[in-house]
Parts: sequence; C-alpha cells; structure tokens
Amino acid sequence: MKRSHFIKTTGLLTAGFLTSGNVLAHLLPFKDAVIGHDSHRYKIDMNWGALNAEFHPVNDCHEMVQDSKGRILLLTNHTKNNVIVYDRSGKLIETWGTEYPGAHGLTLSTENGEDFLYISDNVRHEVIKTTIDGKVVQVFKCPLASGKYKTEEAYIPTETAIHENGDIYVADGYGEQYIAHYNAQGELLNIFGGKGDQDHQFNNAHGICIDTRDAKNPTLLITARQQNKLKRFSLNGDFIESIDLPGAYICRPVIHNKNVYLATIWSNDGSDGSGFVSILNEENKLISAPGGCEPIYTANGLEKMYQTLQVFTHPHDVCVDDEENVYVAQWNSGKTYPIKLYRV
Amino acid sequence: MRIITVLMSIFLLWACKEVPKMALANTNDFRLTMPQISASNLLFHQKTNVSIRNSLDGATIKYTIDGSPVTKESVSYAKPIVLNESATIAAQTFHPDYQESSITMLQVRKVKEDIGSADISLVPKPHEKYKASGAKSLTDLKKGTLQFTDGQWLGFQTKSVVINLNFSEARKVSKVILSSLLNHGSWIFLPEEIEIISENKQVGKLQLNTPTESEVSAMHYIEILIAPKNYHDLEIKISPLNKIPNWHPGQGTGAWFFIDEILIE
Repeated sequence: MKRSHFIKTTGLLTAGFLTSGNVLAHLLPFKDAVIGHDSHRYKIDMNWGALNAEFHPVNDCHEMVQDSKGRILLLTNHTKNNVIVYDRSGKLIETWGTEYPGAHGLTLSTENGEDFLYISDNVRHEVIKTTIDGKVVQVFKCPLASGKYKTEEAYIPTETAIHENGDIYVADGYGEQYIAHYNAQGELLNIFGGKGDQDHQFNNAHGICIDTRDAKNPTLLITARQQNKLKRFSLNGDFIESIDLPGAYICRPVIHNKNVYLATIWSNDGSDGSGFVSILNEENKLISAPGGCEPIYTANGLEKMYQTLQVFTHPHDVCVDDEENVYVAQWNSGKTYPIKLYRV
Repeated sequence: MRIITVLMSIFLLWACKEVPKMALANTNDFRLTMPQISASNLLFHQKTNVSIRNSLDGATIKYTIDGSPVTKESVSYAKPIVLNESATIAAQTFHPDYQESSITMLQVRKVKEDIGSADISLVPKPHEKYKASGAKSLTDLKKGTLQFTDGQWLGFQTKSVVINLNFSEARKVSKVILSSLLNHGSWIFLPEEIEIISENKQVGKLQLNTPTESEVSAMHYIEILIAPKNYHDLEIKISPLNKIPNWHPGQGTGAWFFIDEILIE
C-alpha cells in the first residue's frame, strides 16, 4: 500500500470512529498527532531512521538532502559515519565518511547528470566537494586573498549554494559572516556581507540557497539567524530585501516547489528546546509552523513566533522529498535520529 | 452490535498499522510547551497588564495569581489580566489530547517608592559587555529578562560592587531590594553578602545561602531589611560569590554578579 494512501485511509477510519460518540473516543487505542497549519499539516514518525547507535552513531544531525535516486542522505558530525544514506522509509542503505569532524552543511548539486555533495566543515575550516559516494573532488579553503581574514581559523563555513553555472556561494555563518562567491574552478569572484546590523550584513549567516522560483531571475536567500530574518541578495551580492520572521531562529532555507522550508532551531526569546519548522508561501509569508503557534499577520507584520508543542528540540535542517514529506534533522537533541513528517 | 463494530474498527486500525514499518506518533506522546507570560511592566506604580499565550487549537491555559499551585480546576485564561498589586503569576496549558505543559511563573512587583530622582553612583564600573546605561539603569524601572545579554543588566566580575544612593531629602526606608539574576550555566550567581551602610554605620546586612546545583535560572528580588528611619544616603556594598562551588565546572573561581534594578520600601 502506498504510504500517502495509507494515511488518508487511517484518517478516514479515525474520523468515522470519532463521530460515533465521545464515550467511544476514549476507547481509541491511539489518535495520530497532526501538526502544522492550513495547507501544510503533518503526521509524525519520531523513530524514522533510528539505528543501532553502537554501529551507526550520530552526534548532531546537521543536514539532509535527497539525491537523484530518491535516497535520503544525512550529515552528522560523528566521524564513525559522517554520511548515512537511507531510503524514504528509513531503511539504512549505506554509510561513509570519517574525516569530517565539523560536518555541518550538506548541499546536493547535479552537474552534467551526476550528483555531487558540498560539505561545509566548521572544524576543518573548509568546504569539500565529493562524489555521491564520498570521493573527494575539490576543496574550497578560506578566501585569504580577499583580505577579510587574518587566519584560516577565522573562517567557519556553515553552508553552500551552487548555481547552475557551477558558481559556489559559501556562507561563513560561524566566522566573520561573509558570503564568498567562487567559480567552479575555485577562484574567488566576490565577497560580501560581513558582521553587523545593517541590511547587507549578518548576525549568524547560517544558511544559504539559490531561490529559483522565479526562473528568469534567480536570487540568493540567506538566513540571519540571530536577527530572525531571511535576506535576499542578487547573485552579484547586492542586498534586495529582508523577510522578517520575529521569534524564528531559522537555520537554512530549502526551496521546494513554490515554498521555502526552514528548520527553526529556537523560538520566541531563544530559549533551549523551543524549535519548530517554518514553511513560507510564494509571497514569503509564514503559512505553517509545525510544532509552533499559528502564524498571525497584523498591520505590524508577523506576530512573534513561539513553540506550542514539544515535538522538536532543536531542528537544524529540513529535507522535503518527492512525496511532499519532510525530514527534520536536529542539533543537540540527545543524539537522536531524524524525525519524518508525513503530509496529510 | 455496536461493541462488535468498535472492536472491528480497532482491529482494522491495528491491522492497517502493521503494513508499513512506521509508527505514527500519538497525541499523548507529546507535552505542550509552557505558556508564555508577559507583562506590560514587570515593575509598576499603578497597574500592569499580564497576558498569557499558547495558541494551540483546543488548548486551555489555567492560572493563579496568589502563589497557589495551578491545577486543572484553576481559573481559565481568557483575556489580559489587570493587576494593581505585586503578584506571582503561575500558568499551565492543558489539552484534551496532549500532555499538560510544565508550569511557568512570572513575578510582577508594585513599586512603592520612586527613587528615579536620587543621585546614584557605582564603583567599579560594570563589565564593558554588560553595562546597560550605567548606574542610572538601576533606578529606571526597566527590568531585564532572563536573557543576560538583553542590554538591561549590569554585569560584574569583581570582588566587590559598591552602590551609593543620595536622596535630595531624607526619606524613611526599612527595606532595600536588589533585582538580581541567577543563571549558573552562564556562571552568573547571586552574591554572597550584602551590607547596607549609612553615615559610616552598618544599618543592615544579609548573607545568602551557598548556591546549589538544583537552582534553575531565574530573576530574584533580594530583600535586605534595615533599621527603619529617615536616611539621606545609603551605601550598598555587595560581595559577589568569591568561589564557585565544587559541583560547578567553574569551581574555585569568581562568579559573575548581575543586577538590573534597586528598589526601596
């Protein structure tokens, strides 16, 4: 039975059952939790991808992507197996990678029909390009030539975005907050952003992606996590606009169809364990917040977001698969494996 | 007949569940998040408006304002509460399907005496990173939050902190209150001892208990009783915790002391 079909059937059965009376409802062995709002609501599998930690341990589950074959890849900073490859049901396919102690950012790029991965390592202070099975192809080091860095250690890259022409943008989210723009050969073309409160600057430029929803006019979306903002720049590094998401400490933007999905590591005043998932529509308005409060817009913009239900601890990345289901990888959450959300 | 239908439905649900290897989480697997309590003013002269939120569909917030524990039978929150006396608000969220939240609390305090016009001085200067707007911030009635970096707190990592208050006219004082922060995880401890001096004579003194591991981050009002009489000036001598206890990673070193307001009664 197809998974999505199964869920709908269960839902109908449950609904029919519930209408037969309140007294009977108490006999229900279970009631599926549903989180999120409006068009984007989900049931939850807390144990998706759980493995025997003795053989396949994780520390922080930092990021996830789906490859061209439909497989789900998880990046963790545990050097026994930095990359864990699953099928959609959470079954282990393979693991690789022992040399990425600071494995943090994972971006997939299909180049001439072949899948490549870009790993941002914040302990090695560099970005490593590999084949889909882990063979190192290229290393992007600290852009010392830019004059913005005194030492290689000051550069602590967290994420990359790859343009279809092969250019690569690296966000130095835990370092000096610059965005370094290289060509495919690794030559530095531009560097912009930097630490600060101005529009074109960042406080924790944690995640970056290329927004291809307007196919004729691709732009960069970059999170300013501590500022609760998603900032749009031209591919040349000119600031365009800020999307305010008060109370949402967003990690990295992920484009899927017309929506932007963002793991939100903390909320409200930034207290521990207060994360949820943010989903924006075509107009970049927050429309659903699984685990969070219902987004409300007033004349002053979005009301400050906060967690309502303790489903997530510290979501660090989301991956949306070809069936519209969402995988949530978490930082500092008791070495747990990712959570899968099934769209209902 | 009805019972048979019920049993069959249950069986069907279970049977169906066996097909894919996934276990969807039930509502009762999850705990509600604590409600958010906020007040228009944590320190107030006349009144303050307190609002509480957790907007989850079907959730109910129960609360008390008299310090008694919250239960399912407590009052339901419907609209902002207007308070004109000091109070501790405790609130908890309930839902028919989900586990109840833990309890959250917020203290609001009526200010009896305005000392905004008093001369205030401070030795030594607060740490460069946590200096708010200097000594004046201590009498501006702007409370900090649990976030010690919010710009309202004055932070010190010194052996002593001396604050001098000079009133233009003598006023009757029986109590000095310091609003301080406890956040052991960030090495911020309540002080060891506070001494109040006027005209070179000690008029009040308070020694605080040795900090324990179980104390959670919170804002504290430290009340020091002094000999009730008219005072022109008060010297508040604070001794921050000199040696962090052994249970803490910072054992043996000096602790941080954070203060955001001084009140008198």
